[in-house]
Amino acid sequence: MESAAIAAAPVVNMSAWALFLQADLVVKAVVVLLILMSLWSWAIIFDKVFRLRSLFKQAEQFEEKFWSGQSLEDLFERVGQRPREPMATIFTAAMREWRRSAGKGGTPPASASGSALLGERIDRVMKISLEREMDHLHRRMIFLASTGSVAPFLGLFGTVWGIMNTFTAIGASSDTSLATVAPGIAEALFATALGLVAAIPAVVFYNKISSDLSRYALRLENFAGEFGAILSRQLDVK
Amino acid sequence: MLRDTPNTGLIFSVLLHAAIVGAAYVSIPFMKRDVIQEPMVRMEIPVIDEISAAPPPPTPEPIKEPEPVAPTPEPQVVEAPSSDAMPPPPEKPAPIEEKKKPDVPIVKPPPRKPTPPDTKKRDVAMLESLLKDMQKTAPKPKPQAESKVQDTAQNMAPNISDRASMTERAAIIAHIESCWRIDPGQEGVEDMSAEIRVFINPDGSVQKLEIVDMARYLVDSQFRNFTNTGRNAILGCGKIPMISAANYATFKEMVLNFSPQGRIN
Repeated sequence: MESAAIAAAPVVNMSAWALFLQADLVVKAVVVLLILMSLWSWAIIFDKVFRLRSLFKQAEQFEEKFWSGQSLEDLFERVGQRPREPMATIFTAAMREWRRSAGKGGTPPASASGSALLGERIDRVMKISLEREMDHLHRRMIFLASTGSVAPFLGLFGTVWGIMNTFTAIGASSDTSLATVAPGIAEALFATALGLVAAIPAVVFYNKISSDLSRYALRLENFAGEFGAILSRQLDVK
Repeated sequence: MLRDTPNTGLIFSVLLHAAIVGAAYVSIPFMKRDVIQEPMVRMEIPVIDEISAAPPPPTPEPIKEPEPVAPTPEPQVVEAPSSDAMPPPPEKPAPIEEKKKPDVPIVKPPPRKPTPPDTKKRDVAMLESLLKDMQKTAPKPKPQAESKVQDTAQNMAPNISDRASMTERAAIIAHIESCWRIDPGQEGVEDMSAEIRVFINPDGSVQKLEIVDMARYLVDSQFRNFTNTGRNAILGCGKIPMISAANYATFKEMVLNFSPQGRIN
């Protein structure tokens, strides 16, 4: 009798793919969405991590060149019109402004107020350039942040939906054995697992990347401040 | 600048996910195969069947017959004749009355003192009350016997009628067992047993159920789950096959003991 009961119990394939195929349409949609979110957030993570690493390296190299004692004009010529990294971009923006004002007549403005205005303009140009660069670097960070906070809820939604369906099915079949209850709940919990899998790295790397970005922003600001000081000193000297 | 689309990042991300899924597929067992089909479950079941199906009925019965003959059969044997003997008593009183008139003082004052008034009505009333008493006492011993059977599992089924009822009981139990879906994965299920009192209608449908250990049923969720499997078995099994309507009195109230080791007793 018991063997008959066992034979009658559905043999359930608990593999992840089978769970996914058995799931309700809403649960499927949630799972697909979570997988896409995970893919995209990891793409952003890799992109940002590699980008930041290379940016720090480039900033190191540029500062080395900048402080190596060669003339700023030479450095400007070397960097060229299309700088490849934010620090160089700030440098070229400032140098361009400097040349445009100072190099108009070949000489810097004679009056103190004129040189003060030039210094202010250069500062402003550098600040704008810095902000634009940081804005570029911050792009898509919002996706990481919202993945980190939303993915668990999305997974939870999938789970709740799946469990609701499961209980409806249990009520309809009026069979409460573990064999009938378990697969539906497992399939529903799968969504929560995916939500956590998507969210955890997103949160961790969001924290890491944003702290790295603020370090980099600080470095750029320091560079801009120092460069502005050098330029204003030159204005005073001339 | 190359910051518009994270192409390399996307490629790395896809590779990472593929690697994770591959590793999970290879290493985590449940990702690959079904869980429930484990042979473990099937190994256990035949063992339970062997234990439950064979021993209880054959061994107890031979033992029963010699021992308990003394205690239980007598009352029942007595009942039967007494109910059959109903006609004689009314006949008797008449001759006795005739006899008494001479003998009243001498022979039978003590036993006949109840009868001396001798109006037939009273006699009949007496008999009826006696019969009622007998009827009251008659069903009682059976349930007691049954409960003893359930309690002690030393089946005390002495006489023929009882044995017949035992086979009917076995049929009923077999019927309910066929509907019993026990959850073999439940914690502590092998030590659990639940008694359910079943009230059956004359047509074999279930009138109502009572869980004997209601206090534990309300408190212990494991016990409740287990009891519910038994309850579902009884309720979900449709009409209970009544082999003879004559024995309805025996089976209108039964206590079934659900235990995964001994199956249903």
